[in-house]
Amino acid sequence: MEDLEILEKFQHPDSRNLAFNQLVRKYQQKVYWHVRKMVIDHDDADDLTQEVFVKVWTHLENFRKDAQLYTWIYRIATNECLNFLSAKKKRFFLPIHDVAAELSEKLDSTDTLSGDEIQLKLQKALLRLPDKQRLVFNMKYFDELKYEEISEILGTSVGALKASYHIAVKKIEEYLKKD
Amino acid sequence: MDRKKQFDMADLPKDPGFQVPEHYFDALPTRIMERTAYAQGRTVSPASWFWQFKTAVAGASLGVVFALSFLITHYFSPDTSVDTVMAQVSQKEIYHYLLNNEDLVTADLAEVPAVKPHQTLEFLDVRATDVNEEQTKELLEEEYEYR
Repeated sequence: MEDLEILEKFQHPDSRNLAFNQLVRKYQQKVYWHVRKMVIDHDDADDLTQEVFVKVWTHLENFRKDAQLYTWIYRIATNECLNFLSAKKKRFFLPIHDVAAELSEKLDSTDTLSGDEIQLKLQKALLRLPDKQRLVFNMKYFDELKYEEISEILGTSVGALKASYHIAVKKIEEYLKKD
Repeated sequence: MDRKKQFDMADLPKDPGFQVPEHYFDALPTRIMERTAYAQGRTVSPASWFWQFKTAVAGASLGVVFALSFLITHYFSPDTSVDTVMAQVSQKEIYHYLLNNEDLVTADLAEVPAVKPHQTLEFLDVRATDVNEEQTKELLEEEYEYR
């Protein structure tokens, strides 16, 4: 089902549930993986993914059709991730590095990653980046979004995003060479 | 010797490599629907909350009324029980009342406390020999039981 069709069906009470079910099925994996790459832990990603869709359900009626549905959902998911990580730092009075260390420990647990060494190294390198730089890298490298799309999601200029991605790649390169 | 390796982004995996529990994405839509679309049918409207509140208040008020009436009748009302009233009547009055009542036979009066023990047989209208015989039987039965 196309996004427009989902939105139209969502406006009618009779087909609202069906439309939302289609929306969830269409975007659940994108949202989950986007969140998971940021919070690392499956249970946290699971909670946040559900929260994202609860927010989508609540605000979908007021969604402006001139924007793209998936960039809007991505934006909600991104905000949820950033708020979660920010709250985590505040809650434990931890500096950014300690949260990164905590997430890095989770990466080492057997059920987090499939066991590929280079995947583990890359994820550990990514955890050394600031959250927003990590977001840009994830969306560009793993999700293969265009800079224009990332710009719409994050509300940042394309130029700034290119610079951010370039710096992220250099830092990762540096980390992996040292190791 | 330069220990740095040549780095190439193309060598990095495009798959981040995270694992999810089996069938996780099969169950996720249902869990989300239960918190959103399906939950709407189960939500209770403000009007319904108002009715529930009203019923609870009415029930509580009724309970308070019952408790108050019980306390008032139990602790503050004069004691009008039969025993209390009868205690105020003298034995003499009872004896005369019973004596003048036509429906009573003299044997009934034998149980009245005002009747002195030596008068009991007179009221019961039994012979002393019968009483003695009965008492002897009782003694023999007791002796047999304890043997």
